[in-house]
Amino acid sequence: MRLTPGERACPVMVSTYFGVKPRSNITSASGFEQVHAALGLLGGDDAGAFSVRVILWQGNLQQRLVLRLGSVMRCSLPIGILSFQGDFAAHARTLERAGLTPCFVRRINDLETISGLILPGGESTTMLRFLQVEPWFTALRNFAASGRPLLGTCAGAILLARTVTHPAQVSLGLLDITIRRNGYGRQIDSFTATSLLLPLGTTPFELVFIRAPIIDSVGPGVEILAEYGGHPVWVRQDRVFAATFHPEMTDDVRLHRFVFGLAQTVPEPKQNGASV
Amino acid sequence: MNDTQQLMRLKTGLAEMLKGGVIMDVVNVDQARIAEEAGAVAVMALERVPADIRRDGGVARMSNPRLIRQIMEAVSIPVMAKVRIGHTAEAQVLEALGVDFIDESEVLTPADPYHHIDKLAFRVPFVCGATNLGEALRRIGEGAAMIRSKGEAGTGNIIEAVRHLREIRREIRLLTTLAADELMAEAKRLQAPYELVRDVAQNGKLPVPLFAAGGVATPADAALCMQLGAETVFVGSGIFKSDDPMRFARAIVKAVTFYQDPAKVLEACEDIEDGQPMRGLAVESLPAEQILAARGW
Repeated sequence: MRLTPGERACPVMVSTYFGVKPRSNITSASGFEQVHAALGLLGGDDAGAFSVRVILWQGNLQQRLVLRLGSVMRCSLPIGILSFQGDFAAHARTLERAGLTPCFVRRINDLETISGLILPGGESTTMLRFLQVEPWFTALRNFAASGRPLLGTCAGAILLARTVTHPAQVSLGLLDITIRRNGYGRQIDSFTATSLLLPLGTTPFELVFIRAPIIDSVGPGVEILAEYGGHPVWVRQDRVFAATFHPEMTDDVRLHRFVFGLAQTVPEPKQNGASV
Repeated sequence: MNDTQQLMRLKTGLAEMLKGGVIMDVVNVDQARIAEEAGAVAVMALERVPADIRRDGGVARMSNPRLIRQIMEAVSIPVMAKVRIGHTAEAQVLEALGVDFIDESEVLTPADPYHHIDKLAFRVPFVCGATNLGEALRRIGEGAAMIRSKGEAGTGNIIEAVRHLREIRREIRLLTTLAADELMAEAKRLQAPYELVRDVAQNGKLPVPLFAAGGVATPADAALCMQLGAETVFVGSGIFKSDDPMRFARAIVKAVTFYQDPAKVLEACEDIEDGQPMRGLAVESLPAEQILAARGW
């Protein structure tokens, strides 16, 4: 086994954490814990690279190595942003600041060459018009099933939800939440707040709510990552994340890093790919 | 970040959410529903579209709040409404009503011959028209959260919107080539706030989103505006003065999203089938007092 630290090693580790068919010669448990610990490190500050220890097996060979993730990110597939309409450019700027590579997704084929996807803020009704004229619902459900992470902010959270109210509209159902559109009211009720988002460390995060929805209830499989004002504002179910605020409207890259920082080297490893 | 900056971020934040979309003029609840169904990102609620204001003459004022409220209740997308240039009291009425964006618009008859509204004094965001960079920066200095080209509303003629977009973008590009010690003189020439001139010189773009308005009548018109640097397109008379509003609305929405993809813009044009766009007006044929873009300064 030729093991050179960095680029070639990472897909194995990441796919392990994100549950993409852990390859038989990798122990998923160790990968999960190790990478999860690294995520904790991410929260402390947003300095570029950090290291993570992984243990790899091939046959009865065991290899321990320390990867420097900063170097891994540069060689990997981009994060897509669904760009029919909305603040996709703001998400692209945030991804770039986070050291990740954005790309704009407007065609179903674009989903094949990205390692994660953002459904941005904007008008969910407008985005739905585009999603409904081609088989996007199937494509996005397949995308989620492939284990690559999804992040919806505001309108994107509405699209991901299982149930949408006020008024009711169709949605992808990838996240077991009930979400109420324009939950806080109209634009004059838009507001900013500062709050601790525990998974992101001890520095408070600025929450920008613009005609934001409210998550009224979450299913049993949904983890609430942050609450504000008595409502969940950041949730996840496996690799599907949703925020009702707009991290992309701030200079803070921690949330994007948390969701995508380690994911950028997924997609699914090729079956015949050399194991590291 | 202080309170003023926080508020400004909320205002420009909504403008960001409207990017890559189409904002449609509507005069009643039925039209508002058609616009939402077609994929508009927002509607502009008003009593008459610009083409009718132009035809009718007289004084054009803020619309009846009752009509605006009905439209707000009928759709879930943001609702905008227009006030006359400098008419602070009309703007206060619309803010109290809860509209999502106010357009201080040259399409209505100006109320103040000297001054625009002090938009920093409001919690609701404003959009203002501009014909060049200096005008855009003066409006931003007053607190506008979005700039649109003035174009020549109600003509179905794109030439003035193109003129204004090209002028604004050309002046921005020129600014980025200047040395730091040349910017004050340029601010003086532009008659624009120095801090904003410096900001544009550094960033190569306006500090707020730039949208297109005035004369958009076809999907190709909308795609042209986007190619010239607009980030969203207002369509005033172009949809409901066409002979097939739903088809035109959907087609223009598609053309804006895929403005870089001629095959998709072609699809949008073909989606209209036999529909005819609004009848246009040659801007040169308009008497000077009917040139709306000359209103404001």
